[in-house]
Amino acid sequence: MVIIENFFIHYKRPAQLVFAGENYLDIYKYVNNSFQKTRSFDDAPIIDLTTESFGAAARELSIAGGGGGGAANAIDTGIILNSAYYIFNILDFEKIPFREGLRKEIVEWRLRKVFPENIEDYDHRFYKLDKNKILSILFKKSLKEKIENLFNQSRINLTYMGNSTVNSIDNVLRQKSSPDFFIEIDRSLFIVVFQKNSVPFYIRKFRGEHEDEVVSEVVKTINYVKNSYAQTPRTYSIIANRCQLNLDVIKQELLGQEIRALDLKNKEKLFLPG
Amino acid sequence: MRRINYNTADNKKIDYLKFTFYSSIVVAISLIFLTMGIGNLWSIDQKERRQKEQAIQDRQELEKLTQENTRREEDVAKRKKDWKAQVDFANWLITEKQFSVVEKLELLEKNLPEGAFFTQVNLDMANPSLLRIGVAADSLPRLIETYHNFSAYQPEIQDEKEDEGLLKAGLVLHFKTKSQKPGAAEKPKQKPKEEKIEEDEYY
Repeated sequence: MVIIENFFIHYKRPAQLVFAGENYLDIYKYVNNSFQKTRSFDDAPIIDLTTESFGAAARELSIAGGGGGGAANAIDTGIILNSAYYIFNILDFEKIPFREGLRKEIVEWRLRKVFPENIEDYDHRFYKLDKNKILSILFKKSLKEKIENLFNQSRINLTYMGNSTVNSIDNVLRQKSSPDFFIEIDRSLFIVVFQKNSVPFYIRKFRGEHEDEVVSEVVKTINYVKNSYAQTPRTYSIIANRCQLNLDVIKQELLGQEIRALDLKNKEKLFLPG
Repeated sequence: MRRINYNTADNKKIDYLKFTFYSSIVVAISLIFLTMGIGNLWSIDQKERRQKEQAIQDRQELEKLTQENTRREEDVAKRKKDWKAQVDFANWLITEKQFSVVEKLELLEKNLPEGAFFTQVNLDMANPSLLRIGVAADSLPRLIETYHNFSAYQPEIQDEKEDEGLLKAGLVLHFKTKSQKPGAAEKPKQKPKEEKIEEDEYY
């Protein structure tokens, strides 16, 4: 079933997107074969939005862009959330069962060992990365329902709900030369993703308000990967959406550790669906 | 790594254009394989049919050859039999010395009295037990002596006449054959009469 779905079923790319970052919303419209940012709304944390506070954004979304016209509810719209509301786990298995039901069972069994909350409260999806690794993504069901209600009440046709880190993984690892790890930054939220042979093996999420704090966390994470996974990263990239910190401090520190920066193509839009 | 199609929206929209495209690819590949499969089966079937036809032809050819061979073997056996009969007959003749002319002439010479001589000696190769001779004698007692001397050979006097002061007579002498001729039952077709005579003469 999964094989058929992966091969045959492809979902339509929405004509416009809302990126729900750290207390802000960015609106993107598909124009000239790419998404272009058309408006931003600050002080709009997705978790606290109501139909009223979402009104301005909804009105912007009802204006036809390059991807379609007419009423707002006729335009396919997507939302991308940053990873603040997501929980990622990369689980290692000796062997991953072929049967989908059995696979779900063992993934949830393993997850229950490391995740203290009730999994039933989360929208849980998992993806096979290679023959031994599975990426598990948990997203609070209550937030999912809240967002869907918000869009419904605003009469916006929500056809896509994605995550910026997952999109970044997809887009970065598909590039010709991908870094050993990348740091996704959205204001004070940092996500570090390590990969080997284009397969992510470790994801860490942390918050940092000051450069020193962030540098320390990044170095600790690199050391953890060196010790736990016997991998020494040599290259990195930074995908920064809205960063309030001086990134040069981080770059200098990494350069001191002989880790060089790798420039990525189209790095401003790597968190958007490919 | 496979693309992670992460989309938690309930109202996802399937891209039917892509679905049609990928389905067409699958259908096209399936059709190619199906065509190849049918083609393969057809060629295998043709090959088997050709082989069967060839086998039938070979069998017919073999049957024909076998029949020909049997016919030839029979022919050879017949010829061998005929040849053996002829060889046996020849051997018998050699063994029996039926045509021993020297022996017969010796007998003639031995039994011919003084004052008599031969005017002719006829040997019949087809009937070796008969010998036709012509004798001439200067007097009647000599001629009678001659008859007497050849009495053991059942002389048949064919004719008697006087010519230029000599008494001449034609005689047929009968010599006995020594044994039964081999293959007597299978008489040579070309001379049935002589064979019959021989059979009559066996004692």
